[in-house]
Amino acid sequence: MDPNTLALFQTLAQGLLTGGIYALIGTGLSLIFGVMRVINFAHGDFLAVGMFIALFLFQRFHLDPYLSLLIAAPLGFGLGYLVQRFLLARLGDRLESSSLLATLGLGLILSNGLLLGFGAQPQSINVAYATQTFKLGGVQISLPLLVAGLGTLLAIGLLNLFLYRTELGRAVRATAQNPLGAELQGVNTTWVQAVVFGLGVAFAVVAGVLLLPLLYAFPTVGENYTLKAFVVTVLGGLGNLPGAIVGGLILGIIESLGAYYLSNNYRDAYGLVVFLAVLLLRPEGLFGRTVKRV
Amino acid sequence: MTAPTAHSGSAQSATPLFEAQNVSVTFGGLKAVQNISLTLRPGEILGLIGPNGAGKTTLFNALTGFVTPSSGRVLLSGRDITRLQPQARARLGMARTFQVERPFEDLSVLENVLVAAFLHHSGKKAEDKAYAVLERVGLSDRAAQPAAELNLARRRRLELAKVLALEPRVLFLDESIAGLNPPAQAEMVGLIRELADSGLGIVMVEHIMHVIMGLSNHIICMAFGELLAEGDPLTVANHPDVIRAYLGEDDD
Amino acid sequence: MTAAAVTSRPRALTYGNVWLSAVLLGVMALYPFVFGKSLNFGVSTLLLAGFAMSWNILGGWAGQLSLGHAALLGIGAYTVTLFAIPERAPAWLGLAGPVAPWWGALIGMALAALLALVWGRLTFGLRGSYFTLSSIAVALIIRLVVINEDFGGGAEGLFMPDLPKLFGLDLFDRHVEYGLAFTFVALTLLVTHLLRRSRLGYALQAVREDEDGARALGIDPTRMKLAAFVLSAVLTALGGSIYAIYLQAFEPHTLLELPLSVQIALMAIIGGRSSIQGPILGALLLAVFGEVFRNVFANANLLIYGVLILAVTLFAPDGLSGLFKRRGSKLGTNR
Repeated sequence: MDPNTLALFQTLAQGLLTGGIYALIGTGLSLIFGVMRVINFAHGDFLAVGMFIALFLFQRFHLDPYLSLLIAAPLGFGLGYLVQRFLLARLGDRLESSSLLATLGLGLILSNGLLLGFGAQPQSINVAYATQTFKLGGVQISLPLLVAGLGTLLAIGLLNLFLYRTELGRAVRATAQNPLGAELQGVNTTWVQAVVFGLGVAFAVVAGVLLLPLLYAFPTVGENYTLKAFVVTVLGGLGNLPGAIVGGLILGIIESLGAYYLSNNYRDAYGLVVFLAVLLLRPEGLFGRTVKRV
Repeated sequence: MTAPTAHSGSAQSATPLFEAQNVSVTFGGLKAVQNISLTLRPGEILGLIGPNGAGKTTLFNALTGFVTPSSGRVLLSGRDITRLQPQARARLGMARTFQVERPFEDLSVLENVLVAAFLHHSGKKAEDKAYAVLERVGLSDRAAQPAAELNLARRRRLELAKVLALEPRVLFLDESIAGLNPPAQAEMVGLIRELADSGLGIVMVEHIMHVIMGLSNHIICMAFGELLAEGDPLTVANHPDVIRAYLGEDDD
Repeated sequence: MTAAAVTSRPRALTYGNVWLSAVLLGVMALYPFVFGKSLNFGVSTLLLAGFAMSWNILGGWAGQLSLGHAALLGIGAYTVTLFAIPERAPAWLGLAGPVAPWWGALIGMALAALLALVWGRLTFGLRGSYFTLSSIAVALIIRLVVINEDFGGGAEGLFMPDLPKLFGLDLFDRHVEYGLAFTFVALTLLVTHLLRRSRLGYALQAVREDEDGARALGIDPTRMKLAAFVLSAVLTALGGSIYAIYLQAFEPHTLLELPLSVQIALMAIIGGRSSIQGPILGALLLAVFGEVFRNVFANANLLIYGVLILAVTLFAPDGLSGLFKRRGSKLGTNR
């Protein structure tokens, strides 16, 4: 392969795998929006929480980050469940109008709580595979990035099984389509919403754990990811889960291509420009109407 | 209200003040309004009646710019305004009330009217205009009261005051009388009559038959989005289709 | 005009609670004489109060929740500084020498107005949270440009050079800076009171309560929101230029970041968006809290904002000032 083509493939592979993680983050946000009509402004901060859970477990107990998923994911679910149960549920009718401020406040509490607990210094973990790469047809692929990509596939697969193969999943889909109708059919929508918020947060936390071997952890890392999650979901259409996956991949590829061919300094801006363009030209997302396809 | 008479020149007989030509409105696949035409001249009151769900309010929204017709044209003094926004129509002399009256509750009665008076005036002149209109509808003693505290009859009059402050040539009244007690009804009828006499063209939707029959020069009866009958009040009231349409539900 | 109408006139229209504002300004004017040693706290608090007031013209009056105001503040700060540094903007524009900060501030305000016009025109079609999201995105893009292009000093930021005297006053004297910040707050208060009784103000209140009802009365909601945005942007940029003089040195990470935007917005919301003085009260409260807990929370002081905004959304949707008012006496009828 000539070097230019190789570089292109390299960039695309990088973008696809990073995009996988974005898809994971976006799926959580989109799931929450689809069922509750809430835009979770604390989403990135939950991701930061995930990073710090894994960091803490690694530093204290030398637990491998991938193993700590077994602890972090349920913790994230529980955290999200409680937040919905004891905070958002109390907003009642004002949920849609006040959730922005409530989740914004929640995010501030989370990120500043992390700041108090862990300090502002960026920290990373020292595992052997953090910098390990392997070659696939000439293209170099980072091992942790590949694991993150596979982890995303697994998580989204499990979510689909849950939504389409379980009784609770059916209740979730019913609530997304018509909360009142679901309630009339005996679905406990308050409980469903708590489960959904828990799942959405768990997705963010898992993404954080998967990112830890790749990135420095610092308390305000989430800010950037909240915005990325929005970009992903707006690209795919809010509440549209398959759309979020495609949106994530697109964002990853746009960023990689932009960073390689234009300027790495503006890596975070490319997605935003596309985001603004989509908001202005196709607010329903790239794939048709904003459907409650959860 | 001197402005309207200024417009009723000699050209009026040639070009109607307000005209709808074959207006249809479709929502999704549903035809809410089909092929309705109407003409309005200065000083004329046009009554729009029909059973619930006949499409009166949708037609109203289409005529006033809150819904875009799927076909047909809407003309004001011969000018095509079919795709004009409501705010632009207000500037051209169209005004409407809403079926559920909704004053700006955080504002006082005077301020509510002032919002509208600012369309053509500014500063002190707008304030004077707002007061003059409040006098006209008999609310000037309530000027400082928060609009949220008004009772239904006064809210209706406030709605009327707001649209009058726009100095319209054409007025669309969506059920301004239903729900009022008889004395308040009589007052409102008197006011509407006066407005028409001063040269305004008025289109009104109303449920109370004797009121609308008494006020209107011309009546259009709709059912299921279509024209059922039209003509002078007596003709429409005695039209067999109209009687049939209303038989099932003449509770109001 | 009947007697009834004449007597009710003075009550029906109001500039809002002017007395409360007068008292607040009086307290602010006295502050340097009582707390002469903590002028820094005074200046920064006043500036934040002014930013919250300016924000509220868009966020409260026009109901458009912006989380990107730091960008507008930054435009004011950067413009005034860049034009004052002899070897930067003046040279580039072919000017003979540095531009005095008051002219620089005016240029910054004009630029902010221009940006607000374009920004608003593009994004006011978006409903609710979408506008907020787009405001974050626009501000972040502006920040990235400032960091990466060398006109703005990059990530290291800028140093304010020596400035000419204003009426013989040294602009780097803390007392003078306090005076400037005070003037800024007083101006935002004045503008808000005037807005309360103006055509634009009434139109904005009407739009916020019932957009369709307002359109039926000939009001173009987008135009009104644009006007509010421009007003808000111009005032914010003015405050930004004063802030730059006060800081003397600043970098994109302190001036253009999301947390500053969040801080400004939350001060106004916690204080009360629907009251004229609410944003000032919010700013004062949060500044005092920040000072009290400074040693406890250090750089995690936004924790207080998070806790308070949660409390406000749960228990006091109209903000703290809303707690002191009875129902139905919001911006509109309250005197």
